[in-house]
Amino acid sequence: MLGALAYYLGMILLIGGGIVDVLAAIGMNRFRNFYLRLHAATVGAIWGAVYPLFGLGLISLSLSALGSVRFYIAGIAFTTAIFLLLTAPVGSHAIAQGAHRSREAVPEPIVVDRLAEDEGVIGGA
Amino acid sequence: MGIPGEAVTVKLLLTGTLLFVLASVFYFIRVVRSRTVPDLVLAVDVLAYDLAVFIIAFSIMCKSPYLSIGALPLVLWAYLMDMYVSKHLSRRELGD
Amino acid sequence: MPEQVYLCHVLIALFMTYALILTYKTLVERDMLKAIIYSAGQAVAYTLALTLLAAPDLVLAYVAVGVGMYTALFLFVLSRTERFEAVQGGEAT
Repeated sequence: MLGALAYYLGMILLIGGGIVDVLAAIGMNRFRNFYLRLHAATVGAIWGAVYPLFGLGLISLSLSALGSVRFYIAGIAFTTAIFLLLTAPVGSHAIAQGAHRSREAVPEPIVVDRLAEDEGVIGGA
Repeated sequence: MGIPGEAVTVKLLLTGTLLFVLASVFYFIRVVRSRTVPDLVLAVDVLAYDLAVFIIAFSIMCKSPYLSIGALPLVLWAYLMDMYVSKHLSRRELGD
Repeated sequence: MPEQVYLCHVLIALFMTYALILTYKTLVERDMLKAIIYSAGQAVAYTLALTLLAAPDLVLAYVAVGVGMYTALFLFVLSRTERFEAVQGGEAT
């Protein structure tokens, strides 16, 4: 019973994550500047990689045909998912900060830019 | 309500895996078309995260635990590449 | 299963095509920083091809060298020199 629950939950996470990942990939091509593409990229990192990795771990735990191999694969899948959950938001924030500091990408639909004001004060003083 | 047989499982896993391969094609188009450096780093990053899922799914289909080892270093080194490039962009130098 | 073997070959061809196109982009790029990151993307594509060829030991070495060490070393070198390739006498090479 628990095995079947893990199996179906994992399959839902895998295939749903795959569909969201395809949508995020289309969004990476359709959005028009860097800061809008950052949204699609983080959707593709969390919904398109972390949840499918948890789903694959659950699937491999529930497949008794794999023998003792399933524990290795599930361990690597869960470890990768947890590290990805910790590192992917940090990496995208770091890239956004680097792009803003180096003026590589212009924030285009914008009302107020406090970060640029802060950098101007620090650079001018 | 039990677990379906092996043929159905392989077909479902194959469906999910091909969705990720399709997504990697779009991410690759983004990598080739990108003009600025942060776009490029972001696209390479998400491509690496996407293909880590593919590695684990492939190792389940092959029933081999050794093939799945590559996913963890791929994710961690992609994160380190992020940090290197953002540091280089914001300070114009690497190191402290 | 013959279908699965055939699909595996198609996927190897796909990832090798990624690597080929990214190598070409690395060669013709004038911006050094973009060339370094194209090369990291080529290492990612090679990682997938080596996984499909069932060589996980090569995958470990290739990821660590191609994505991590290579990028860090060349960014360190790039911070000591100029980012854009100089054009000699205004002619396009």
